[in-house]
Amino acid sequence: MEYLTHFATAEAANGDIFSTLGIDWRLLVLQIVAFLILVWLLGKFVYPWLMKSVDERQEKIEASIQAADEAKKAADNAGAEVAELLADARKEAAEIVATAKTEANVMVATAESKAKTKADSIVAAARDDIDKEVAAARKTLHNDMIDFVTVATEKVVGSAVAKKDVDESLIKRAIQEGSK
Amino acid sequence: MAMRLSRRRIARHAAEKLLAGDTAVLSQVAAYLIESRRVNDADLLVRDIETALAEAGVVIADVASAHDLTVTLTDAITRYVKQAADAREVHLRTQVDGSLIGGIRLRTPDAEYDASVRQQLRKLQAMKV
Repeated sequence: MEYLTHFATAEAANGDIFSTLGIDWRLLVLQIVAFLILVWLLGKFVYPWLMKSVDERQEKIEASIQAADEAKKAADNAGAEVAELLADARKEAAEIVATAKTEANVMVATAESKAKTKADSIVAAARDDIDKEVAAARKTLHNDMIDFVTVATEKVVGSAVAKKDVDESLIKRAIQEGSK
Repeated sequence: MAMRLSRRRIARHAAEKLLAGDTAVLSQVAAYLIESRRVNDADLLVRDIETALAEAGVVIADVASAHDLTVTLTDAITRYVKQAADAREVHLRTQVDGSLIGGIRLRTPDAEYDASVRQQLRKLQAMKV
C-alpha cells in the first residue's frame, strides 16, 4: 500500500497520467470506436433479434400464464358448477328420498288398511260361519230334542193312558176345554 | 133312463125325508145312484146329507177314541156337540182307534175337534225347524 502511494506520487510528478497508468490513448480511442461500432452493430442486428426473441418468449410466457389463469378460472368455474351440480343433485336426491318416503308411507298405510279390511272380513266370515254352525247345531238339537220328547211322551203317556180311567179323565178335560 | 139330479138336491130331499122319519129314502137314493151309475158319489152324497141334516139341527158326529167310550162320556160328548153346533139332536158314530193313544177326535159335517194325544204329539213335531 505504501508502495502504490509512492508510485502514484512519482508518476504525477512526471505529468503524464496515461503513461503513468500504462494507457495508450490512441489505442483507447480505437478501442472506444470499436466498442461503439460493436454497440451499434449489436443494437442494429443482435439486440432487435434478441429482443424479439425475448418478446416472443415473454409473449409465450404471458400466454401461458393467461392460459393458466384461464385454466384456473375454468377450473374454479368448473368447481363451482360441480358444486352447484352436486348441490342440485343432493337437493334432487333429498326430494326423491322424501317422495319415496312419502310414497312408502302411503303404500304402508294402504297395505295396512287393506290387511285390516281383509282381516276384518275374514273375522266377520269366520263369525258368520260360527254363527251358522251354532244355529245349525241348535236347530239339530232342537229337532232331536223334539223327537226325543215325542218318543218319550208317546211311551210314557201311552202307558199311562192305557188305563181307561186316565183316558176318561183326559177326554172329560178335553170336552171341558172345548166348551170354554 | 132316470133324470140326472144334482147331488145337493138329492141330499136335501133325503134329509127332509129322514127328518120326517122315512128311512126308506136311503134305499131309494142307493137305487138311484146305482141306476144313474153314480156309485162313486156315495161318500160325497152321505156327507152332503149329513150337512143338510146339520143345517136342520140334526148333527151326526164321528167320534174316535183309543178306548171304548163309557155312557157317561158319550153323554158328555153329545152335550158338547149340541152346544158347539147349536143342534137339537145329535147322533154319534163311535170308533176305536188305538193310534190316537188317548183323548178323542170329533168330526161333524162342518167342524173337527181333535183332542187326541196323537194330535198333541203331531203339534210337537210341527215345532221342528
